[in-house]
Amino acid sequence: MNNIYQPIKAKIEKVIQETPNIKRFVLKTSEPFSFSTGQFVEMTVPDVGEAPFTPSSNPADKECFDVTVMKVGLVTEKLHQMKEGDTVGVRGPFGMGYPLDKFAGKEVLILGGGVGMAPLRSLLLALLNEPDRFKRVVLCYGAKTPDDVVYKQCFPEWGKQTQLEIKRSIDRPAPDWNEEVCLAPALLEKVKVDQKNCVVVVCGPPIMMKFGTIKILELGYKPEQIYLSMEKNMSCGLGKCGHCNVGPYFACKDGPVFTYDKIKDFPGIWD
Amino acid sequence: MSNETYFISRHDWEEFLRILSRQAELWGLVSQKDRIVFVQVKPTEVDRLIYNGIRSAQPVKTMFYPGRDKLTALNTSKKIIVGMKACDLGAMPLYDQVFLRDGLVDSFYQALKENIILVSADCTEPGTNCFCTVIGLTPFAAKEFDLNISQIAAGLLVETGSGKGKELIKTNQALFKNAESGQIAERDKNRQNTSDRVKEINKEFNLSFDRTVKEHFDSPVWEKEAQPCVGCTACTNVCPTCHCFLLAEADPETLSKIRLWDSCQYTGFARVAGGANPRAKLAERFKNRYYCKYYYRPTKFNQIACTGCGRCIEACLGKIDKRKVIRELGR
Repeated sequence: MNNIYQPIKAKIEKVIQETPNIKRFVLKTSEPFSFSTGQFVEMTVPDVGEAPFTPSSNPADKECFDVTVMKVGLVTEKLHQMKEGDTVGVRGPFGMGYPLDKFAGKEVLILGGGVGMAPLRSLLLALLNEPDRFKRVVLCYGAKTPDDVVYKQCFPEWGKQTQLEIKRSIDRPAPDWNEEVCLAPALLEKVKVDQKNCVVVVCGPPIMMKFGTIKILELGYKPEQIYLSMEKNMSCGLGKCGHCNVGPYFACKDGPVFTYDKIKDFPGIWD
Repeated sequence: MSNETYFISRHDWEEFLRILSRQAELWGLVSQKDRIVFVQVKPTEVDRLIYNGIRSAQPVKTMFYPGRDKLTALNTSKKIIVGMKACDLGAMPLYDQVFLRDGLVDSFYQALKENIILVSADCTEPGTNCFCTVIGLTPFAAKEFDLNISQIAAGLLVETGSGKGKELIKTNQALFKNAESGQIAERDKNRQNTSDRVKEINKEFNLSFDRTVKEHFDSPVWEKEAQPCVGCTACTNVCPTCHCFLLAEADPETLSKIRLWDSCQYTGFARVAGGANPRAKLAERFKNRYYCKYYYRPTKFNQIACTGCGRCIEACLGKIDKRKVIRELGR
């Protein structure tokens, strides 16, 4: 019997403490598993529940994949207590992810905030897999404090990439921080991008998604250039259970990445 | 494949059901106090089944889509459902789209459906809450059934709607006669009468639900009409088209799931970790139900997610009449 609701098992290979409340889990599945960047998985914490996460690793890595998880609810709280060698369940991957074929030949401007950097790390790595395919990549990333910056150990490596420009900010001044101090959307004013030949990718907390999008529109980008990762309550991942609707769309199947023009007229998109 | 229509006496029909129920559970509509309900009946009680009248008080969707379903083994027990009305049957194409489309087949739904013989019956007694004709449907089924029965003075007319239905008649051919044109004319007259009665019941509500809803997205009427709603979720539970569910944990060892009916009327339905909630207010959830039925699902599945069965009106603790809500919206 083909059971579309049955998870496969995955072993936690490694746990990396990214920030005080964010951990990255490296997972190895019991059966072959691969994903496209921006697609998500449903992860089961045995006896607790299931929640959607977007892999934060390079989609070209077939051995293992990562999820980066902030401790915010029942499932993530329990997940944070889990150790290397423990077993979780995985279903997926689900959804459409980032349409890299549409990004080809263009500049890719990325706006990320907080743990919203998770899917963007995967995107960044996917873009860097094929540097000639994309014109240039600009990453604007904001976190609350220096402590809250995720992937601290990855940034030095990324900084060496010539086709990648990085701007980082924190919300308020802090000792030993010599980069930008502003809210993440304000970083967009500090970078130069070829607006006519560019896509903008946004992922972060709801409030940043909203004001980020407003800022991007103010700067003159068109709604169809803006790719938003919609965080909704995906439960089945298959467009059946109805939890994640964004207007007529199911975020789990038609998304989770939507261009702003598709969803802008529907209620509750920023909440 | 063209449908065939046969005549059978009530006596022979009951014999036919007894033959079929040797190999299958028999389910149907029976009278209980002042209501018609949907229950399992023993083969010895086929005379309890009623074919005329209104749809059952509760939806028949429980047969394809149980409120609580352990997603481990397929249920392949054979069942015959007799007497379900067009307003239940009308939900089937939507269910098929939700559970079978795009190669994402829900095997549990599929197994239940494949093992059911669907025998629908014409509605003859629409209630004050019925509004199938407003939605563009009829009180009798045109498709989706294996067999459909229409009661006439002399007995029953039986129409085949599938190969499965034809086969059942073929193996019991001695019980059936070809229908005469006079009998078909009698059936059609009865059908017309019922349709006219539904239209008469709804003469104040003669408006396009989908267009009205779509045109009044930001109307302040929503807030006002949601006032009597207590968020009990009765409307979604009794709705033949509501299909939303929650996947919950069943077994920590095998990681298997259980599928439970859920409702967009619950506060936490769309809430995400971290607390953001696109429909935190009751009025937003109230409105979402109308949008789902008359705008979102039609956009997605090309079908209104409402069959006009009127159960949501009947079940509402706040005495909300959906037709009146939409009429207010259109004013």
